[in-house]
Amino acid sequence: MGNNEEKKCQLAVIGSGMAGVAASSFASCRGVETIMVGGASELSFATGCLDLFGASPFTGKKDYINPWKGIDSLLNINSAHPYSNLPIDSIMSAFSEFSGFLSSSGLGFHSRFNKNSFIITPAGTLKPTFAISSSMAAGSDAVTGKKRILIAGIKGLKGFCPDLISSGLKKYNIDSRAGIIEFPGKENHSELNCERMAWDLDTGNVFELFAHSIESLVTNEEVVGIPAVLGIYNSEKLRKSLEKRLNMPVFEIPVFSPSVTGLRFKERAFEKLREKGVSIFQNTKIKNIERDEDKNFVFNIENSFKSYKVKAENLILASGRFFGGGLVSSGRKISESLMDIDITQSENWYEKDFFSSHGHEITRCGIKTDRFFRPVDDAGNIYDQNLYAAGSILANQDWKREKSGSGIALTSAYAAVSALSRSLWSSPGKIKKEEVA
Amino acid sequence: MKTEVLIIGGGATGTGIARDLALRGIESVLIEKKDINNGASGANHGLLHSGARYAGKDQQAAGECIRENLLLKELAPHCIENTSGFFVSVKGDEKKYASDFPDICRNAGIPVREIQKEEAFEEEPSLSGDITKIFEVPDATIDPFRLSLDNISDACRNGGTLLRFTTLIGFEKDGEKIRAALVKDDISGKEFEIEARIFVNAAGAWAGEVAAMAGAQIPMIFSKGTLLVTSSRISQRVINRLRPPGDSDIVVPGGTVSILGTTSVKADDLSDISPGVDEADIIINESMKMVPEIKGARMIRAYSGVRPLVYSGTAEGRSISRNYTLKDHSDEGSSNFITITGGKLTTFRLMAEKASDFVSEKLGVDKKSLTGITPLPESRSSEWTQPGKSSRYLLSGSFSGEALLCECEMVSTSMIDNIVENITIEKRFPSLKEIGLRSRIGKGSCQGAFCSFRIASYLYDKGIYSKEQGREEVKKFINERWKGLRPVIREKELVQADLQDSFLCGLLGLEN
Repeated sequence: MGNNEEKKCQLAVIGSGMAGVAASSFASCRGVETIMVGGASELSFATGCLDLFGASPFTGKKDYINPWKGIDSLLNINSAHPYSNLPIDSIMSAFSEFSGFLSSSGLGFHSRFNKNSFIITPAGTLKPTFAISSSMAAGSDAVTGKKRILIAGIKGLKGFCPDLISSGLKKYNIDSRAGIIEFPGKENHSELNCERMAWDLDTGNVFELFAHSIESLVTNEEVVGIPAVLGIYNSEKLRKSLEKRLNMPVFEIPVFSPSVTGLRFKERAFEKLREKGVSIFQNTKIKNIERDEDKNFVFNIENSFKSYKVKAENLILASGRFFGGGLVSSGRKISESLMDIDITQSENWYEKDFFSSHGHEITRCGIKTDRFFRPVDDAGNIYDQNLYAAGSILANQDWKREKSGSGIALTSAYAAVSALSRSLWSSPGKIKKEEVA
Repeated sequence: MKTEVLIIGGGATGTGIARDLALRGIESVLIEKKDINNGASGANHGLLHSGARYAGKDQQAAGECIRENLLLKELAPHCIENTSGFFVSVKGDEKKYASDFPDICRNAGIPVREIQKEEAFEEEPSLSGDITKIFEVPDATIDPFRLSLDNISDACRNGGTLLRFTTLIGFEKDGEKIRAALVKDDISGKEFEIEARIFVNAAGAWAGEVAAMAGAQIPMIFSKGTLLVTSSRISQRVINRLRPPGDSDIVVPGGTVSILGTTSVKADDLSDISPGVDEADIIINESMKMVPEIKGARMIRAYSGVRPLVYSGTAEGRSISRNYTLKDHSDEGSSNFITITGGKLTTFRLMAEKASDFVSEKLGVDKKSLTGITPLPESRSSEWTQPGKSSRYLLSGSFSGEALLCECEMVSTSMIDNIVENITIEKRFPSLKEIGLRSRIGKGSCQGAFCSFRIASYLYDKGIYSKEQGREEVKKFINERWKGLRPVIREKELVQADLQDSFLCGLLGLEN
C-alpha cells in the first residue's frame, strides 16, 4: 500500500459503535478535530434506541420504570459503576445533546424525563429503553395503554414470528393478534432479508402492495406492529404513509443479525458526523498504538486506496469488548488489545446457568478509570493525561443485564470529551475552531 | 401392555439387543427414560477401536475389538469412516512399550505396520516433530447416534417397540419371577404396567439402580470421562499415544471436527455430570504433545460421559476391566431378569448378541443371532446427523430457495420439517434438543445462539410451538450447549460467548 500520508488531529476515537459515534459527535460539536476509526461496527446489531438503565443484576429487579431510581439503587451496591463518575444532570445532558445530534441527522426519539419506554422484541419480551426510536414509540404506548395490537409478520422472514411475539405479550396482559403477509415481489429475493426489503420499500413501487396486504389483515386492532423493514433512508415518511393508510399508529419491532434499525442508525449518524468534519475510517484494523516524542498517539491505518499515519493529541478507546475486539484473552488471562492497559480479572468467568439474572463475572471485567474516564493501572495511576476510555470496555458494569449499553457509552463519551476539550482549550497557544452548534 | 422381552435402556447395547431379538423373531419393548444414547453411548469419542489400545493388558478384549471392528465395517459402513489410526510415541515415552507393541497386536490378531517418520508427516502433517515411533492399525470412527438410531429403527421395522421418555418406577414380582415393570410416561405423566417374560437391564451407568429395584445387586463404579471438540478437523486418522492407556491420549476425527480426550475422574452423582474447566486444561496440555496445533485450536465444546464400570475387587478407574458384564439374577430371586453392562461401543453388537443368546435360551427359542451377517439398514430418522451432509444435500440441487434456519451448518426449513415429522410420528414433542439430536443445529460456530431462536420462531409459524414453549425451548437448548461450551471458553470462543450473551440477554432479554 503506497504513501504513508500523515494525518494530524486533536482526537482519535478508536471504535465506531455507540460509544465511538457518541464521542465523535460530542467532540465535533465542540470544535475538536476528530478521526474515528472502526472495524465492522457493532451497530449492525443495535435496536436504534438509547437505553439508560432497566434492571439490576445485583438485586435481580427487572424492568425499572424509573431509570434514575434504578441507577440510585445500583450505585448503592456498586459504587464503582461508570455511572458513579458523573452527576445525574450530566447524564441527562449527555442524553439530550446526543439525541439532539441524532434528531438533526433525521433519527427521531421519544423520551420522558423519569420513565423508561419499552421495546417489543422479536422474542415477545419487553426491553426497557430510555429514548425510544420514534419508529418504535407507538409499540411502547400500546404496551402502557394496553391497546389491542396486530402483529403482522412476513412469510418466510427468519427470526420473526408474530405468534411467538403475541404469546409473549399475553404474559404482560397485552391483547394482540398475529397475522402474516407475503412480501410483494418476494419471488425476486433468493431469501427474504430485512435489508433487501428495506431497500425495496425505500426505492421501489412495492410500498402500495405492502400497505395493502397489512390493511387487509386489520380487524378491530388499534395499533399495528411490523418487523423493522420500513426503509433505511425514508423510514419516517414510509411509516407516516402507512399510518395514514391504516388510520392507526404503526410501530416497528427490531429483527436482528443484521438489523435494519442498526443500519439506519449507523448510516444516518455517520453521514452527520462526516458533515461535521469527522474523518471516518471503517473496516480498519489497528495493530498497535505508540507515543511519539511530542506525546502524540501514533498509529497506522489503511483503506483500499491509501495508508495513513495518524498522529492524535488525545485518544478515546471505545473499542468494545471481546466481540468488538477491544478485549482479548490469551489462555485464561484477559487483556486490552491495543495498548496493553491493565484489565480487571476474574477467576470464575461464566456461571453454570447461562441465563443467570445476576450476569457473568467476566462481563464486569474491563478498564478501570478515574472520574474523567482516563484508564488507570492496577496501582490506580493514570497512564496518560490525554488517554480516555468509553463504552462497554469499561469495568464494573454489565450492560447486558442492566440494559444500560448506550447509556454507559454516551455518558462516558460525554465525560471524556468534556474533560479533553476543557484541557485542549485551556492549554496555552491553542485556538479554538469556530464552534459548529 | 404385554410383550416377550422388556429392555431397559436405549443406548448402543439396548438398541442392539432390540434389533438382535427382532431379527430372531422375538418381540420386545425398549424403554428409555430420556432419549436414544442419553448416557455413555452418546458421550464418547466415536472411536471404532482396532483393539490395539487394549492389547497390552487384555488380549481377549483386544481380539473382540478387532473382530467387531472388521465386521461393522462390512455391515454398517454408512455409520463408519474408515480412517485408520496411528499410535505414536513422543520423546520421553516408555521405549519398551513401543518395542513390544507390534508383537502384542499381532498376537491379538490386529494388523499392525510400522511407519517411517517421513511417510507419517506426509500423511498427517499436524503430528509433532517430537514423535519417535509410529505404527498404523485399523482404527476407524463410528457415529454412535446413527448407529443406535439405525438399530432401533430396524428393530421397530421388525416388530420391536420403542418407548422413549419412559421411566422405570419399579418391578412387580410374582414369586421367583418379575411379572411386570411399572413405568411412567414422562410426557403424559401416565403410569402403566408392562408385562414380559424376560427383563433385560441394559441401563449402562444406571444398571445398579435398575437392579436394585428388583432386589438384585450390581456394584458399579462411575468413571467420568471428558472430551473436547475442536472447530475443524485436525487429523485424517485416529491418533493414539503409544503408551499404557492414560489421560488425554487420543485424537479422533469426527466428520468436520476432531475430538480430544479423555480424562478419568471418579464420579459419585450421576445427575450432575458436566465437564470441568480444569479437565479441559489437562486435555489441551496433554494432547498437544502429539499434535501441537491443538494449543491454538478453537474448541467448540466439551462433553462428559460416565463409563459404567462394574466393580470386582480393589481396582480403580482405568484399571477396572472395560469388559462387559452379563449377569443372571436367578440366584437373587429373579429368574427372568438379566443385566448387561460395561463394555465398549466397539463391541456393542457382540454384547447384544450374547445377551440375546441368553434371552433366547431362557425363552426356549432356538434361534441364532443374525446381526453378525445382516447389513444394518440406513434409516431416515438419522439422516441429518452426519456432519457435512446438510451442505452436500443443498449442493446436490434438491434445494429450492427455502430459508436456511441454521446458516453455520446449512439446515433448511424442509430439513426441520422432515425431522419434526419423524419426531411427531412417534407422538413426541419436538423439543429443540431432540431436533438437535437429529440434525447439525447448534453444532456450528454460533453454538445455537441464532438458529435456536429462528427454529423456535419457525415452529410457532408451523403451529407446533405455542405459548411459552418457544422461549423455554431456546433457553433449555442454549443451557444444554452451554454446559459443554463453558469449560472451553478461551480466546476465540470468548468472542462467540460475548455475542451470544449480548444477543440473547442484552437484546432479547431472555435472562431469568
